[in-house]
Amino acid sequence: MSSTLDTLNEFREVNAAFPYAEPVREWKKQGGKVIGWLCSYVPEEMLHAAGVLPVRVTGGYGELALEEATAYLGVMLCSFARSCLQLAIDQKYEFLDALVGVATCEGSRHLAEVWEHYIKTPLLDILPLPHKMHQRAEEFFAEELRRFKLRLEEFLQVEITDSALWGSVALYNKHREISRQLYELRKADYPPLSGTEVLEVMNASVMMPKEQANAMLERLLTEAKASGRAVKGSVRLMLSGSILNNPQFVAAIEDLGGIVVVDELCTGLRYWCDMVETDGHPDPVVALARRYMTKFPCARMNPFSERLNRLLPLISEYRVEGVITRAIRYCKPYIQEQHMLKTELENRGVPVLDLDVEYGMPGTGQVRTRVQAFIEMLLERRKAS
Amino acid sequence: MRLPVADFSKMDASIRTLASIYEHRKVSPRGQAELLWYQYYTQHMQKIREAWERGEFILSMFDACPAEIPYAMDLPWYGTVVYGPGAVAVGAKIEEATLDSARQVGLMLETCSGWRMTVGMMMRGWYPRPGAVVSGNPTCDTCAKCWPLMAYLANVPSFFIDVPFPAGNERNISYVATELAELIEWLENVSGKKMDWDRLRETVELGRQMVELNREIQEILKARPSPIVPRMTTQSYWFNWIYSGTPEGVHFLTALRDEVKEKAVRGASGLPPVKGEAPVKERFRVISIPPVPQIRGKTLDWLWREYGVSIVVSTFMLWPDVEMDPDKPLESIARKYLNNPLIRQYFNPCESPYGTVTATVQAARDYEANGVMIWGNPSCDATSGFVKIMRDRLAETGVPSVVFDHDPADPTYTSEDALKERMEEFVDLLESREWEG
Amino acid sequence: MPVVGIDVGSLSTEVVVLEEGEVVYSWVEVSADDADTGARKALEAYLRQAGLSIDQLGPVGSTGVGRRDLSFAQVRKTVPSCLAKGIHKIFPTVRTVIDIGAETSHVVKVNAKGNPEDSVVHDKCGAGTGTFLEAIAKVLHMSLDGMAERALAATTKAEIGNTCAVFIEQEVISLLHQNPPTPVEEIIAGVFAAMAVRVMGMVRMVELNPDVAFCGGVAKNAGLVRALEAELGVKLFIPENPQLVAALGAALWAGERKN
Repeated sequence: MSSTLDTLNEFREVNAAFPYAEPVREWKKQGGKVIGWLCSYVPEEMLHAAGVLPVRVTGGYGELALEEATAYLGVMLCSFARSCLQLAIDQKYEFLDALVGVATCEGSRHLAEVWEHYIKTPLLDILPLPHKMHQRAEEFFAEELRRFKLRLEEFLQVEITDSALWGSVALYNKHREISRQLYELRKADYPPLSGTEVLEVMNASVMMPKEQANAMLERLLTEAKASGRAVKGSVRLMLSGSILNNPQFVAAIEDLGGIVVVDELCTGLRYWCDMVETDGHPDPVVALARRYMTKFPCARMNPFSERLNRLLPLISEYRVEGVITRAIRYCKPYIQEQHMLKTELENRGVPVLDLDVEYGMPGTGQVRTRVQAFIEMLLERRKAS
Repeated sequence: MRLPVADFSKMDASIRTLASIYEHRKVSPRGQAELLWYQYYTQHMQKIREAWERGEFILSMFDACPAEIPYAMDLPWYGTVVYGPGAVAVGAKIEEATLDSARQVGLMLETCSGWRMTVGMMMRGWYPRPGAVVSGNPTCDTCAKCWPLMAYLANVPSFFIDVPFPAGNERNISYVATELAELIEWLENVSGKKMDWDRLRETVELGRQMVELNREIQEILKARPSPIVPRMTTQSYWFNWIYSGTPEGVHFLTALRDEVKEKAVRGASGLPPVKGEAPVKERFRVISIPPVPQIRGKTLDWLWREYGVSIVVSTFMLWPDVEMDPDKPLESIARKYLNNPLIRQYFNPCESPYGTVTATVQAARDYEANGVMIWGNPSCDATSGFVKIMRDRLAETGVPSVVFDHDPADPTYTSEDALKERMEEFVDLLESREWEG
Repeated sequence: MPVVGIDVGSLSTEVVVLEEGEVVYSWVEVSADDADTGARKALEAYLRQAGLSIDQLGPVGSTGVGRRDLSFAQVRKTVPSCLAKGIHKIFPTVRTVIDIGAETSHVVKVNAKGNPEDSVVHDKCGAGTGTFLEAIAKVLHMSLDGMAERALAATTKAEIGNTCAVFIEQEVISLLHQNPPTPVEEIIAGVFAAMAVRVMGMVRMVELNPDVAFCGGVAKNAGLVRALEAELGVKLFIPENPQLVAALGAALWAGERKN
């Protein structure tokens, strides 16, 4: 691999102290409050506008023993949810002043309920979320955001003004724009960053103030462009599926010769890819509701075509040769949409490798073998055409 | 993937079995309600059989969706659960083949076997190819995904009734009522049939009566000994789904009410004594969460006769008061849908006033239960999510509970011996508490 | 009159005889095809020495999966109840019993009177049972005692990532054959630690209430005991004859029988 980028190392340092990363520690030291969010449907902008530091709650970058968490959330419940709970049981999330979940899926909401009962976090809220992407759903969600805003204001004893919200929207939109530019680099024949590195960057940027993340990302962009770095891969791959945080999983794919040039993950592209529209909205809450209800959907939304229609253009934009879908055990929405996704992609001539793994699992053993075979098949296919 | 259009072999076998059970029960009756149950259950399938022969548009619908709508539109429809995995209990051997089919589309152990069987039924053609599929997200994620998958596999249009969590959110009533309005418009388009709004208002009135009857029944069930047959806790629950807002629904529940009332007055137990034997004495009153799996009806009969353990109630029988106004049919149907005990308890936070933990702790008190048995279907996220909280809350109020590692539809998952062993362990535990006083 | 407790397990049958409330005889016998034969064999020495026949015994209590098949028992109790009763007699302060049997493991919450308050059972996956340890011992070509001894010599342990019995077995084999191979004592310590995590998961379901007792045949395994103590963070109470606790409980229940 090419030279290391200084900024990349800075992102890695943030990850090293997961979950109580240095910027979070620093924020607490200054007397600031930290609110954890559990799902990319939580409008972080609102937390930011309330003057707190939003931090994404995940299950970390490795595989945990989940037996204890499994006593609270059953063995076939989502391994991401159980990993988060395991860390909470191990008192790794004691720095949180509040936790915000979304009733996205059962893993998410049962985790929130168990968390509320057994883990002493001062405030916990679960946001309702309609399943259909229509106008009425936006209105419904906006109303819920208003309720949540009041609760937050009361808890923090602050007022969340419209201008503060618009300010946060601008900041987060900027983050989305820089992330887009970062992904844009991946469209090159030899991108300056590997898929593994991009995931490391994405992981770190939800564990620090967005102002700081934006500044670092901009530096990284400049550095990456100037470096002349070229990450070579034999085949261009997309990674799709349930939540992924462990960079080792991507590294395994890239070690085998592939390069991940784009993803369909809530810790990747789906996190940043839709802007909050600022024109024509007098009310920032309405603008937020609209963005979150219409964004690139997670598999829990309905119908499946909404997700498929957003995913398909990425294949040509990033010149994807094969898609690796990764459903975690036991993420029902992704597992149960898998057949439809695979069929639709294969009908369009896009090969698919479907993997089911534990959330924290690095790419070892059987996964490596299957990825290797998949890459070989793609290479054969290219030769044949 | 090309699926067979219709293979009625399994349905016909189920109908035959049901008919023979019906004849058998007619000779040695255990009550009018059970007879009606078999009669109407058979009828639900036969109607589909006939509609298919006539070449009519058939609707396939998740049983928990408001049945008032197809009834008022005069649309032949079938409940995918009652007529699929539900039929396992009456001996339709579908489990192995349907689970195998579901595996082909990537559904393994993580997906509840009941839902896997429904997908497999569609793939096998054991459900006649419907004109459309209707489903919704309550009560679980799997439910939200498997019906659209079935529609995709059968290549037919589908409608999804969206219910944002939690069900108890007041704003859900109007949101869901609008969903139902859209559903009706959609159904009119795909089926060519028209909504009969007068008839819809009638279903609201009948639905109101059904809620009232359910509430009367749940009061009567507080009697000692418990006047209900264990499996009836499930049978009545199903009936409330597939005959929602119908004269059949009122007929059945009236019969059930009269029957339990008569037994309660007489001080008789739900299950009659075996001929020539003394009546069983009720020793322990137990609540079942969720209702007793149909495939374990006999095991519960054994538990009663051997140890005097009665199933006093399942929390899915506990209806709240539901405001029903025939002049606001959609709003009323939405309200009833969201207050159906299953949705109310499983689709609200478990410790909220409506939630399953709150409801169970309250029921244990109201029914003076000695214990709670939880059928811990491992692939059910709902149960997996609340079971620990529920057990801890019950223990705080002095009510012991037991979790069975059990599959509600697949009888091969847990052996009968292992299940009985767990039941006896629980009986021992209840006994020692009894002696301690 | 002697009071008898018999635990008819899937692999072994344990017998305990009480006279005046004290244990005067105990025996462990390989389970026979039918429960009666195994139990009679286990009682043989006692009956001979006491000059009694089976029908001259006092109340007989049975437990274990074969308890119903024992024709001469008058009291039949399930394993959790007998574990609670038995452990209470030996260690009255114990509130949690962990019993690892050949094919089934139990964790029982015991109240101050020696009755079960709650229990969880584990019988689907092998990784928390005695049979699993036997299988690992076979892979390693050693006895269970040998395993215990070697584990105690370990200063560090191998990380066993899997929790499913089949996968652990595979993982052990690959650790043995990798280059360089992981030292056997580290593998054993790793296996014990994995098993301890498994048990901890069960204990969590009923809560960890001290004092905690550990019984079943494998409780004699010092290596496993050390791993379990490390995982649970408590000192374990281990009866002198850990495999006899359920049989003792059955005898006590029989003695209490209200006629």
